Amino acid sequence: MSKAIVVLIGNNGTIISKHNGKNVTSEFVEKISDENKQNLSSFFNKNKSFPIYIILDTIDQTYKKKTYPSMRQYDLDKIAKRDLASDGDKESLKNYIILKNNKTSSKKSLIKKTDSGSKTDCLFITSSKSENINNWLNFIYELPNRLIGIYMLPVEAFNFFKKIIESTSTIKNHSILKLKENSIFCLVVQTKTGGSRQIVFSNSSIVFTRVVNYNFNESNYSEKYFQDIYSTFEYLKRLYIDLSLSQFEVINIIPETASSEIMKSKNVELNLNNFTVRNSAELLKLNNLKIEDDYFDLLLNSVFINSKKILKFTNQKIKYNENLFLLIFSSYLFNIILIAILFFIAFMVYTTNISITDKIQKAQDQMILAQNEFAKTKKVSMEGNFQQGDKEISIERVADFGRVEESLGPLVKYNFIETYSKMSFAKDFDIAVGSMSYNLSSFNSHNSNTKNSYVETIFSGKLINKSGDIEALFTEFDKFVVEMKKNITDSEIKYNELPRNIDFNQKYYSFPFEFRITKKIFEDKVTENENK
Amino acid sequence: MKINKLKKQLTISLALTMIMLSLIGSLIFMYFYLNSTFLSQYDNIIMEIANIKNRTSEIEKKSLENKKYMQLWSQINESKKSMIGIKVEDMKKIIDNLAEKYSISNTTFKVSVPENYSPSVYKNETISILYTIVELTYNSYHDVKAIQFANEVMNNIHGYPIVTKFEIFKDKDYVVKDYFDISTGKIFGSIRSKLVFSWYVYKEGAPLNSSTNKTNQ
Repeated sequence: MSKAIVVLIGNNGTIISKHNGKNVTSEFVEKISDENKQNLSSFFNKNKSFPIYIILDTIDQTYKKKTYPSMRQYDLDKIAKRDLASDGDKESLKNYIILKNNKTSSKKSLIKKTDSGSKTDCLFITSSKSENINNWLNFIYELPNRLIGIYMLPVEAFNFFKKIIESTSTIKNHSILKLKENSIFCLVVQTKTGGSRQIVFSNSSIVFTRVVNYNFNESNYSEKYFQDIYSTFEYLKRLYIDLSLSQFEVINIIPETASSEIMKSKNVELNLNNFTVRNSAELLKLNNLKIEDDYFDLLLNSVFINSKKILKFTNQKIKYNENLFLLIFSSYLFNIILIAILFFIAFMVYTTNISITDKIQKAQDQMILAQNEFAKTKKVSMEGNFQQGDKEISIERVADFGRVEESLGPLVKYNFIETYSKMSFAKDFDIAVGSMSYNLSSFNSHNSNTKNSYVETIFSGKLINKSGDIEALFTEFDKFVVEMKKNITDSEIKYNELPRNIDFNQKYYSFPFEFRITKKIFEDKVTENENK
Repeated sequence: MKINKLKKQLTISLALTMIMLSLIGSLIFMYFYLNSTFLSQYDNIIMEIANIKNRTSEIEKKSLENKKYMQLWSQINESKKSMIGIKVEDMKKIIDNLAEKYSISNTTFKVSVPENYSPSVYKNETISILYTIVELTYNSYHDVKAIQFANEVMNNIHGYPIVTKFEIFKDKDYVVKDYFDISTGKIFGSIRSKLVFSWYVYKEGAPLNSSTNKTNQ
């Protein structure tokens, strides 16, 4: 239930109803004057958070239907607006409703319209601004309340009509009223502000309205009532050529006494449905509405507040006010978002600050630990000079010597005599050594890369076999190899075997040999160190 | 509602928006400023820690090396530690004396121009290293004498003489006349030898950076 104030302005007076969601209070004002303005201002000021809706229940409302060829909605809107603007009357309140498009109407529809082809009907509604309306508008403009817009009672009564149809269709006993596609409904109501009125609806929208000149409180209204109903029907026959009385439903929202009077002289042709304002409110479950009289005003206001509005009438000032309201509302919303962002960023700054400060603190602690460790290491580190006899030698110089010794020292140690003496077993063999060569391989004297250096000693000569016997040659060679392997154990020995495909019938008195003894210098050193 | 009142409300709301935006702007600036300042401070501390740790590790490494080299120091003989540089005349004397001792004849030796050894190799800070390549050829009448001669030459040279090549060839088998001729000095011994070694010696003074800087001794 929405909160709002509805100002229903009619020719007979104005009803101001306040709807706060729980209950409805109302006030009838015959005419706005300087005397009651103060009271009214105070009422509105007390309820300044309530938006204001103005509903007009005036006599001088015109409903003019115009038919357009079928076109897009956008184009139709443009043409209708242009037609509205072309009207010379700039003061009146004007708007339009696009009625049912013939193209989309059901083929089964029994009611044929006078016009044919796929065309669109547009209902132009105009209400002149009387002095009374102007006075009310000028008064409302100055109020702190938000003015939403101006609405027409007959147009907005369609919502009431729909609801009453829906609510009666759910009751078994009231199966008469049904929203049929081919029916035309005539709603007869009596308001305190505007008097009695017929409003004719099709199943989708208002068709037209007329204010009738009788009063249900008077004695001779019954005759006038039926005359008006028939004249309305005749008028409708011009719009819907096949309309029959059976398709014409009359819904009366009138006092019980009036309806019983009408029913006395009931014309059997007419489909009359009688409701009072009170039982209509009950049907629509408007329990918070206190109906104290038989007028339709309050009931309509309540239904209006709780329904989707159909057609809003406005003017430059209302539009300007609305735009300002929207702007203020948007800026408030934007400010709320900004406040949220502000708090979020403030929180981020705070947490980030704490987190970074914490990180810095931890890092500083770590730095102190590292500094302590550094000082401790420096204290125990071997630096400076040391005394050797009379001389004082710096540690740096010792390191300089050490690095060179580590790299070149093992290469200096090679002893030729020792290697050569290992070959002394050769004296027991009849051999003639022609050459011996020693090579330090993979050694680069410019960068002293000694890591992969190895020593290769090559002995070459010939094995002498005095008997010339091939078997003796093989035996002697094998013995020599065995002896060499036995005596030189720390090196790799490579040699050429005697060829097995030699001519065994020939005599071989000597045979050439070459032994390569390879020793890796640093691998051995590493192994030695590991063994130690 | 009065338009003036609405306008006033709108003005207040917009002013509030402006204040809020400037506050947000200030906070964002503060956020990034603090972030960058603190992070830069934090990075500096982390870098400083890394630097201290590196220095600690370097000191530890150097200390270990120093300990190792202190142990090695006593094992390096004085000849290796000699600082007299490369003196060709002294070397010639040694060779001549030893040649006489081992009946070596026909000795020739070539010494390349000594060079300052690049300090980047051994990272030497307090001493310079010189190096040269020496080629010694000679004849002897017996292989054992040739080897003993080579061995003793190497033992008598200070610094680090690294033998890269040593070759002994027997040109021919001796006949009786050869022994006579050798003893009278008419012919050289038939054992021909060639000794090539790289010679590294120390010289007092801080090292020069250029490895191509040649010195004449």
